[in-house]
Amino acid sequence: VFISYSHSEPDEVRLAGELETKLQAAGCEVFIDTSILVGTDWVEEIERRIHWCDFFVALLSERAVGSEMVQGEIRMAVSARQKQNGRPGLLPIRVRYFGPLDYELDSYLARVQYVKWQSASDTAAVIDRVIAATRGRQLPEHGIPAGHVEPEHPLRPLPRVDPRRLSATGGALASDDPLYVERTADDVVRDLASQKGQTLVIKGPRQIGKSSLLLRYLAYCAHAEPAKTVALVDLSVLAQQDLTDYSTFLSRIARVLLRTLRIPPPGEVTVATQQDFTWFVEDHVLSKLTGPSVFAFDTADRILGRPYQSDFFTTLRLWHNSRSNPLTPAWETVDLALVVSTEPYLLIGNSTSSIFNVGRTLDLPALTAADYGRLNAACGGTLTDVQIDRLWQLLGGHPYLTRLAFYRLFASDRIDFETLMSTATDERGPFGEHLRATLLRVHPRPDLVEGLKQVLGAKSPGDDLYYRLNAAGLVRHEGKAVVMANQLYGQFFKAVFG
Amino acid sequence: VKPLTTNGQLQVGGTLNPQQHLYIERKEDAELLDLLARGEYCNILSSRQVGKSSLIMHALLALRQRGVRVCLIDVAGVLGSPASADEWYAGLLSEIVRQQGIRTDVRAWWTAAQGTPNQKLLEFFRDVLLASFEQPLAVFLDEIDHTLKFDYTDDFFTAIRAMYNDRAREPAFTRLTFCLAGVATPNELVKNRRTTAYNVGRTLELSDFSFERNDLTPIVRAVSPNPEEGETIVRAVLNWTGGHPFLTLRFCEQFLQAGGTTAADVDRIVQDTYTDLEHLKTDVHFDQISRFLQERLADGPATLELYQRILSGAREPDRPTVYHAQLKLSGLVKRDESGNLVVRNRLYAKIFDRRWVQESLPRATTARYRQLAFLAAGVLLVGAVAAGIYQFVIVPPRAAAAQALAELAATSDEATAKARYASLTGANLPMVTRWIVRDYRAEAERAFRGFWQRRAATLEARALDRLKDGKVDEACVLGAAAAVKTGGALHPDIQKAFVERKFSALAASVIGMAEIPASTVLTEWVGVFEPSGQLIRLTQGLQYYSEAGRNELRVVDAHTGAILWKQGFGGIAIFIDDGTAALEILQKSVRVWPVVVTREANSPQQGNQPAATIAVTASLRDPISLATSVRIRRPAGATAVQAATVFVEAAARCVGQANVNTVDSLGLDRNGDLLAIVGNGAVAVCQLSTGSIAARISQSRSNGASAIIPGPVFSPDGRLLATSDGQVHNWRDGAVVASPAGRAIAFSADGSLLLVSNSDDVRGRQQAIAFSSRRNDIASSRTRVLSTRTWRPVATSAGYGVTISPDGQWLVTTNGSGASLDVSGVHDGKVYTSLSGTFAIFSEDSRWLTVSGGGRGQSDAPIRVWNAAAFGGQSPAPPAAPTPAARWGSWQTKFGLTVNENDDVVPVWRTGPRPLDGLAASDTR
Repeated sequence: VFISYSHSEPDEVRLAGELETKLQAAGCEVFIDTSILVGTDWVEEIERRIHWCDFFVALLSERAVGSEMVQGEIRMAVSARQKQNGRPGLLPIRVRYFGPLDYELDSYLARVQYVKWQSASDTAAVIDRVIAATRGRQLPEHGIPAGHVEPEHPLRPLPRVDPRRLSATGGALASDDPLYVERTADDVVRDLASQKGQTLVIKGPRQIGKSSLLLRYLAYCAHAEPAKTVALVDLSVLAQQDLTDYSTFLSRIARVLLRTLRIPPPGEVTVATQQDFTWFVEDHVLSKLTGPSVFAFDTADRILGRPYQSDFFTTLRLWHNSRSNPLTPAWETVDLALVVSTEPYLLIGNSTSSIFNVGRTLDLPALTAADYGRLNAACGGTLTDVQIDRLWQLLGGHPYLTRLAFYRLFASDRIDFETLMSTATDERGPFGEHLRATLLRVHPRPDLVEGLKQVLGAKSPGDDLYYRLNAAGLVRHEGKAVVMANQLYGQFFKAVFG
Repeated sequence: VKPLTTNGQLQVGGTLNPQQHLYIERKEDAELLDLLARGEYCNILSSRQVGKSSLIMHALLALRQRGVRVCLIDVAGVLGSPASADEWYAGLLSEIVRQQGIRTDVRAWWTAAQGTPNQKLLEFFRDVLLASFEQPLAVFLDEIDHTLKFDYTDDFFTAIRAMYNDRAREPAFTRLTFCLAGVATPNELVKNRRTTAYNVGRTLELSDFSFERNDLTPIVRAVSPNPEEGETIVRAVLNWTGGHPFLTLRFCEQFLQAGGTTAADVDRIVQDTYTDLEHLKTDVHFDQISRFLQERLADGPATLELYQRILSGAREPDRPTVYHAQLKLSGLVKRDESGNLVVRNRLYAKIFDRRWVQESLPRATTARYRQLAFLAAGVLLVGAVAAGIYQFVIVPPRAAAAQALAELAATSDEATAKARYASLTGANLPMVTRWIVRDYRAEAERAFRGFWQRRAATLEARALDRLKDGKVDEACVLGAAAAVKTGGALHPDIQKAFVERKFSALAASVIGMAEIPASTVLTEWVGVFEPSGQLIRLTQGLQYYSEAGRNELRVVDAHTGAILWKQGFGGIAIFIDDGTAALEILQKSVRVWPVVVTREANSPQQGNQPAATIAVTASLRDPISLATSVRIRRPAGATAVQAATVFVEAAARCVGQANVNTVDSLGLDRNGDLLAIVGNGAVAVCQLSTGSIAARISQSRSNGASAIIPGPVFSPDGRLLATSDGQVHNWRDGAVVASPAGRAIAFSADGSLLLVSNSDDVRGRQQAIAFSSRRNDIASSRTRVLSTRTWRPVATSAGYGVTISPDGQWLVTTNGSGASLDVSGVHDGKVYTSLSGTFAIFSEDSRWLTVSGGGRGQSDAPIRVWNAAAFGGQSPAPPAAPTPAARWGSWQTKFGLTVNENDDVVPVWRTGPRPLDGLAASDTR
């Protein structure tokens, strides 16, 4: 049994400890990560144990639900499960939080049964249920409520923006976030949203705010005059088996389109070829829509490396061109939007035509020191200019880390500026969980590890490797040299691989 | 400032909607409409992003207004990459039917219809489509170059051509017009060389924008509110873009985004943005041009050299050759008013400059070396092929053809004869417009046979003279040459001499070759003998896998010449081991063919079945690297088929475990047990005997590596692995023992020297460097003494590294001209001699250097074997020009070049008493 929990939630730490003891007493081998070590040994152990265990117990408190580390472990467990014929079994325990799950977790756990833990008095019963589950019995509860997680504090960032917020009242507009930093890209998408027949490609490293910008764009589209019907397909939540071959992939996309647009499916939806796919969209989707629409594909580079990759982007190019084709008037008012973290040229492959040749590409940059100044002002302005500059140097304008820093400086579990700086790379420090989750994500990919080592050794990795590292948000160009994306990553990964 | 894309007027990239966007008319608009309205077929085949699709859209609307039915199919976007021909055809036809609003189940019709795809297509258009309405129909097929990927679309092009040619007989076809658009030449569309190319329709070339020819007011208005200022700015832009439609519009957009207001800002943007290709790598427009140049050129070096001449301002008239056509298609050049080719615009001249050509040329040449390397260095096959399969000859017009025929009939020079014959028949010339010369084909065949007979008669006479003089060995060689060259039998006296001198294998080969028609270009044949000399195994047309579909492996009875076994294959196929098994390497699988010969069999085709078909989870980017590195261990008692199957299965399993999508290249160690798999930026080292991954090394793809990624190289003892990113790994513990910063080419036999090739950034030249290792013993942690080696460069030579002698004395590199090789001493780095050729291998004992491949255009250069002692050895002074130890005509090279370590396979020159020295005096020419 592998027990995954949030180290910063006392209830979970206690429950995890008791679970460990009782499960061992019941004859189980238990792996629980109590270490404060950070390093390749630790990641390898986590990887190995997740593949080793028969059952994966995930403690899900409100904090865990928004925790990158818990998500990382569950992501790994889900992928192990797909590779190993359903082993490990997933056993979620909801710890005093019964609301909806984070977007990514929801895609993994929505249909998995769970048990509830309210207070210490439930501990014994919960442990019995878990032990019973390891012996083949089912957990009792099911049906996690739909909807998106509102962060416990408005400053606290979620690892990823939740596209389901789009369907909530008001949509995901800048006004619901006091600390949203408007960038020039916002003006561009607002402008694009007001026009018809546009193709937008949003490009930038991981966690730079691409999905967030896409949501804003879609919200503007939904509020445009005339309003556009919005269909969002997020490829990151597709399962591996949805990507096995082209036909499976297209059929899945077709079903997602119908579902997000709430169009009743015309019987069994299977699409054999990309021609069928286009016909399907024309016959069963466009024909049901009135007025303009926008089809958005988040994490479109998920299919990078699949044999059908360039064919799919060629299809999107066909849609783009069909807008101008008087023979296919249905496409005239269809906008397209894609979000990628990879350089488009890697996605084009040998294809002769691709959506990336024609769309309008927005390259999202990191935040500037001036943006930090604005954030500081919004939080009451207690940081000095020197401090702002030091913080900016440390984080390199990484939007998620920036929000995390301001959260720890001005909201819950407040720490002072010097403590934040001096404990930045600590495992239990303000960024510890993010750093561990990042390591967990990087480590299974030897190419990225090797590339990081090269960058740390002041060598330039090859172009392709650079683009992969850059897409992962780890490195950037400084003039001609390739450097770590920020000092925090530099210090942390130097300690890990150095 | 609003970018152009969003002001609702101009759109950058993609198809323009004529009803929505402002459109810049060109003279081609009227031309296309006029041709199509008259029912002519049209081809708009030109480089990317010059407005093809928008032009089509314009014509399509205008035709529709005139009552013509129209149909537009983006064959890439609509049809994708179907797995089968039937799917592609059914998809295409159903799209046409759907667009015409006809209700019929095309897929069912296609499945039910009888005949070849070609016949079915004709029937469909005549009886189904054109029968359902009376108006004319214009079918526009865009992105037609997408079909180049498929081997089954030939029928489509021959069918639409047939419909055009059949108009007189079948009036319905006069109502049908096709307009093809894409990045291809008409000649490329039909891939089977035996079928006439797609030669119907007018091909339009699209012109760039200019104030003189076009009304550019919309662009002027977009860049400035003041028309005069606007025109100055647009003129400054055109000065750089030459009016290239996409570049011009995009530049104007960049201009506005950068807050430009005056013409001076234009130059500033150029200097800031369009610096060099490295910075534009993520610019899709420039990336596509570089890709085209890397992947689509039929002959990279020759085409790049043509470009270099144009770039330096030489007058190069546009001519109907492959090089000219492909260079235009790349978009880099265009034809000016006086019919000369010029660089298309100053931006291209700035980016694709002289330095860029210098850097690209060696790469393109290397690609060709590797093709040769596969043919020449096969450790499996005895034999090699002279440069030539990939050569292209410019098709002469009729007068030149007649001239060539006259020369062929008169010449006694072999090189001239072969060149003239090739120029007349177009054998192996994939891009050639052969219909121009087909009238001469039969005569050329006859004249060529006549040439060989003359040649053979001379040789045979000389052979009999030598026999009289008692020079039996030389007589044998000359007599054999005569027989091979005519395809005739050995003279009886010579045959007797063969038996006496125990030249059994050679005798067998000669008799076996006798049945090969003389008109077959002999350089295509590679043979393997059984020890008894009874069988000769031939593979015809060893080619890169993209040429799939017309290759054949054969086993020929040595005495009767009868074909005992043959097997067509796609991809690359090779005989392995003793020739009783063959591997067919396909994109995603490998087949093992048993080569079982029944002597009585008269019908060689009967039921060949592969012994195994082994799926490989990844596609092979470079099957050549596999073919050159296969060296199979054969356990006692196992047949070659079993050994091959076990090997391929183990390799496939390793590829699966390595978990890569595309295998870039492979490397095998000397013992055939370690397999290095390169893919997804990493190298997996697998142990074939256990089928497990022994180590993983991540690898950065070396800068600029493109189509060709050299395979990893194991040291002779299997302990070190040199990868193409310029690292030498002790792969077992992952330690990098050396970083020679270059692509590893070869180790010397004792593993102490490593030859690498790299680009010298400072001078932009290729450099080959030999690294030597010195052993250092260092005391290490507690238990043992570690010995490490320090690697340092010992010799440097300009050019691309070709090989290093096993004894570590000699370094062979290409020299600048691309047509010859420099041999330099490792100990002093001095160039000792230059030898004409493009590829070289040393014999195992380092005594002989075999050089193959002539200069460009020399498809049948002789392969020469040089005595390494003649290079000057350790002596400091370069000797006088060395003489070749033997100068072989092309036929001997097939049997004499490579020594297979496996003694089951007997190369000819080992069967004679003193193979090379004995024949040194004989010049079979």
